[in-house]
Amino acid sequence: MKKVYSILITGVAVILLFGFIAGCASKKPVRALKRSVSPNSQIAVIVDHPNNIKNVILSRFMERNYRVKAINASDLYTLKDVYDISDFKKLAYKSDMAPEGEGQGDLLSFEKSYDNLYKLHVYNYELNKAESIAEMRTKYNIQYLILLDLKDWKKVSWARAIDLSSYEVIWVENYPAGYDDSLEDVIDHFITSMSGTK
Amino acid sequence: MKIRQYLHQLIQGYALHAALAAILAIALLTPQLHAKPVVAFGYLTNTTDNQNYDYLETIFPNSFASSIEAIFYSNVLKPHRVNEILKEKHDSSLQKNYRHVELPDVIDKLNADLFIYGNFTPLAGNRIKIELHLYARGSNEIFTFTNIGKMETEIFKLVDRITLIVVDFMDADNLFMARPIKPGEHIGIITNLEDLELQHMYAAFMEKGHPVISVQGNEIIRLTEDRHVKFIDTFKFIRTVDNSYDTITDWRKTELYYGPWAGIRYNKIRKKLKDIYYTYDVHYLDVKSEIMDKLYNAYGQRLDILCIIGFNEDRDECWVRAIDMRDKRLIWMQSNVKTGMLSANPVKDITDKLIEQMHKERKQPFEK
Repeated sequence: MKKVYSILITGVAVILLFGFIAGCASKKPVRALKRSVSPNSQIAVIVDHPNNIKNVILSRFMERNYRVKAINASDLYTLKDVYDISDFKKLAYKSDMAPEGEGQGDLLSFEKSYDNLYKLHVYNYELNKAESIAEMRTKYNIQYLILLDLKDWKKVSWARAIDLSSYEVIWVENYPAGYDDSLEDVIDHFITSMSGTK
Repeated sequence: MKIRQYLHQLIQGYALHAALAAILAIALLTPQLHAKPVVAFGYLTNTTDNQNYDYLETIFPNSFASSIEAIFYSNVLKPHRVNEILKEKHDSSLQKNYRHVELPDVIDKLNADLFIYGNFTPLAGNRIKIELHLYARGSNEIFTFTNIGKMETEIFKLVDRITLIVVDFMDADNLFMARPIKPGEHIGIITNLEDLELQHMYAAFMEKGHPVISVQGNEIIRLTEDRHVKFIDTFKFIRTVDNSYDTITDWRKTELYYGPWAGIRYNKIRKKLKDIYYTYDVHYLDVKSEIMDKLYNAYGQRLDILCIIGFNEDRDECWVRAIDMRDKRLIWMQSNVKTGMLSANPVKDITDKLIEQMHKERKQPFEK
């Protein structure tokens, strides 16, 4: 009996250990840099934080001589307030319209049309974004789009840079912020990393 | 394991793959315990007016049948026998071509598990285009692929080439690979990953020499989130030029009623409803191709490959569909890509596996 318990306890411990390891995996730092974003480049910084935080972030870029364009900084609202495309997905249909065993062909056609409608919507949505970022380059003369998602301590913040001349993701980094990191420290870390001086 | 996989896929509504997994499972189990799965072959129709090629209409399927029978524990029905069964028992005959909606009826009449048919077109420069359709009984899903290659003087080489595609697709990971995707080709990704996990995936592609185009990666939050609907699963089914994995819908069953009592307003609504069905199912491929063209141009014609990658909730399994954006063909399809239980970073490990697979040149194992 003891043996059975010990096997069970070991099993549970192993599962917990691997759960812990897997949980830690996404917290590991990641960095891939294909081309650096040098100071004096014209950039747009996309963040989704309150405006006081946004100002701190933008000021760090400005201090390092990046020319920050007023995209995403020109409004009083956050991204989440503006976009609610997820509402589209709440479109629903009932599968019990037809009696049991009848009308399944009709239902399948309808489901397929619904799925196709949704797939085309996603493709169109990506197209819409692609055209918008093309406008950022042509109308606002932006060279790089910088995306930042800052998290609390213990969690992992991430950043990404897109070269708008090629639409390529040229830099990604996940950075686990330490307890001694201030907001400015985290932003400075990202700027150093993307400028290739690290 | 195979049966578990079958049940899992059946629950997920992934029926053609599940049916194929079941056929494969039976083929691998002890022969004495189970009836052999039956694979029936229709004609490979000559699409040209040149009657000199007509003899290939039965030679091709006969050769594919022999080749499949040599590899799988299965009973094959060649076109001649299929025709006999349809004539003797059902007062009909084997047709040169079938509409997809007719397949469930045909396969039931033959009492077969898998029905394979298609067509061929001889091309200039001693090349040949072969299109095959695979339909598994009860799946209501059809896999179509097109292969263009050299018209070998030794026909067995051509047969082996096509058999390899069929066998790959019938295998557990339902692999279809029209061509390898080489380092340097620009990849755009639509996936249900976001945030840190998406970063892991992007970094893996960038490190392995694939420039990543910022499809979906140009936003902080994946707005097409899956709180209400598992959005990514709708992309499992994919219709493209030449190669497709799609469900069969029977438009004959959809009836829109009207009569002398119907007014102008009612008829307008009926017409709009019909237009919706036509746009989003009947003419879906044309509508989608147009959007794909725009997307390709919007990214400055730099987006070479669009990968759609769907992960399960535990992130230890995924499926992939890849479209070559230049000719808008499905070139890669694979399911059940898994990582080991001990993986510390499943997203990265699976992405590495995907990248390794996409670089692989498929070798011909039957080469004599």
